[in-house]
Amino acid sequence: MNRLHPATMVVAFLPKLFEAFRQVLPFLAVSLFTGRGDNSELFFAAIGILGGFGAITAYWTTQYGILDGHLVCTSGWLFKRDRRIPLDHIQNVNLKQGILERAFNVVTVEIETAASSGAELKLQVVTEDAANELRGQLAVPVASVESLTERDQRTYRISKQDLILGAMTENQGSQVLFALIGTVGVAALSQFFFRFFQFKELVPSWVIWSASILGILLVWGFGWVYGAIQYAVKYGRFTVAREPGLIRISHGILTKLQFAVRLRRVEIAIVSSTVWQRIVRRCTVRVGTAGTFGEEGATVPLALMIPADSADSAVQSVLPTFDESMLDWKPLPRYYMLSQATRVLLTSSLFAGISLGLYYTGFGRLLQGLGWLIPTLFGSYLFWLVAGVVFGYRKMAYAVSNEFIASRGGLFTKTVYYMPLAKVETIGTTEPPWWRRRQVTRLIATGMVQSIVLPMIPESAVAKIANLMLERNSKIAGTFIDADAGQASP
Amino acid sequence: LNQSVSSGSVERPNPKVLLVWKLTNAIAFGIALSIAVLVALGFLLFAQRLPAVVWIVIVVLASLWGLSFLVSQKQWENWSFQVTPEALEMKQGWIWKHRRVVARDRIQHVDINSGPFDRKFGLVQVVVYTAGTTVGMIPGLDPLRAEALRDQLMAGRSVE
Repeated sequence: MNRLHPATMVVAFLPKLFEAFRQVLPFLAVSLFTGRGDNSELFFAAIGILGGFGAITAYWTTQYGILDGHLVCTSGWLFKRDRRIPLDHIQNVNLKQGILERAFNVVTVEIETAASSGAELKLQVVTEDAANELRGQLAVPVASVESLTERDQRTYRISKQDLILGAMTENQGSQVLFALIGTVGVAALSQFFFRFFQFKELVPSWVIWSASILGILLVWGFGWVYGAIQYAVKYGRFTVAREPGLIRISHGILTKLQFAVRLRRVEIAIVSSTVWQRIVRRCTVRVGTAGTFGEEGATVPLALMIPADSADSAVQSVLPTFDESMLDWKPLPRYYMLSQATRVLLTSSLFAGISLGLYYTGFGRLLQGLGWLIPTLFGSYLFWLVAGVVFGYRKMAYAVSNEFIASRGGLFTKTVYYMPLAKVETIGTTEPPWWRRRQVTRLIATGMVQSIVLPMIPESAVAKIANLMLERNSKIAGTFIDADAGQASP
Repeated sequence: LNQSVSSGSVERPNPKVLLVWKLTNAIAFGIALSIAVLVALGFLLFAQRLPAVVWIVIVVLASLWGLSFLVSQKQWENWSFQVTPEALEMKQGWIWKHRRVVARDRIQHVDINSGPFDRKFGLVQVVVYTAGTTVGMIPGLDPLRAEALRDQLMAGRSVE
């Protein structure tokens, strides 16, 4: 049995200390500044620090190791815990190294199984060598599997150009946020100045207008740059190393993350591209297994900013039975557009009713001439909803082949989901009465963790999918749990 | 889901489960209604008036209780399951219909639960799990049938 690294006491304790003081920091500052505080805030901070002592006991009590095919971890002082995980039930092994951890040359290891969300077993701080040794031992059952990638064993590292291109084209998350804050904020600000400072007499109105527009553009630009920096810091040094039966994905400039994905455990592949990515003909491929990837979420990027036409081969490298040409893409029934449009109109008329009601019951007076914001916001919201339904519908499709179930959609960010039928455990359908008359239904295919949704398909297609799923499952009957422990060779 | 999937017979929960549901509803609504009635009485005794809100709450509660009889009945009528050589198929729902097909090989474990009312009527409920999720619940089963079902499901795909 092994112990954790003594650095646990520092690495796990410092963040707790920081957290405890951060909360009382404003109060402390005020009492220091005014000289009238009794420093009672320090007392509360001290209570917060107590939590940090858990980290110290964790070091003294945690032991881990591998005992006859199980990863064993015992921990706890008052409440003891002994957790054993069969090695072949392990889905992912994630490594994380923050800035603090790098100073001590230590890492956090997370071991995930399919049993529940979140890390099954977290070894807070072990040395890099110990982590490598542990990883080597965990890989034993994997190595005995006939290698899927032996012929192209190699390491791929993202180039600087690709990273910068990715940062510029794939960061719309914070862009949208900033855009919203920026547009509404600048508009409100300009109105505010317009009303309360008699600008009109001092500066001509075109100056105010162009300043407002410039302000909006600046905030959008700042959001974009911010998102790009975030992206570059998160995905910098993105590396994929292929080993027999296994891929190691690592990325991160400040906080380094590494994920070991067992190829036989891959349940889903997702190919996505933003509008900007499509202009430069690139896309991103993510994979998901029957486990999660800590902070990364349910899926992990397998390929960033690869040329769009090599997406299929990237998916094929983790799901060998994948063949895009076998997929027969079908559009969703036209009725889907009608039902979505009805839903959108119903919900937006509800919103309209509420906002009009608020406006006329005196809430409008608070807005002080910003009343134009309500119809503007509402109108643009409605416009995007309707556009989303009408144009989004054309982008949606589903496909079923003998091996795969697939679904795609997305107006701005195009996303395609591929799931092997052999990984599907449950097929579920749901439909309200008005769908029943049109003989359509919503289908969800669920694997151990991942799932794929076909928003509307004809009822006649369900039996075919269910039968295919049962047929695929029968090919690996009885061996699925040990499928990559080496015994599965039907 | 008609051709090769269905070859086992379609089974339904025992009709006695309706009594369990009605009893559970009666207790929940009974408690809520009696609180509302007590409030109403309090108002009548101490304030000599009855606010409209209290009236509305009582009427709504009583009509929901009435409606729950219909809902339980319809729920029971629409709840069915079927064990085929390869799959367990479950159907449920009156207005929104839900169907689920589970590959029998993928079933990890099966729970048999029974609450106090279930036991009173000699019933149990069966909950089916795969590795990832709870697949579904079958209420109102005879304990013997439930055990047979569990053995059947835990054996995986039936070999024929």
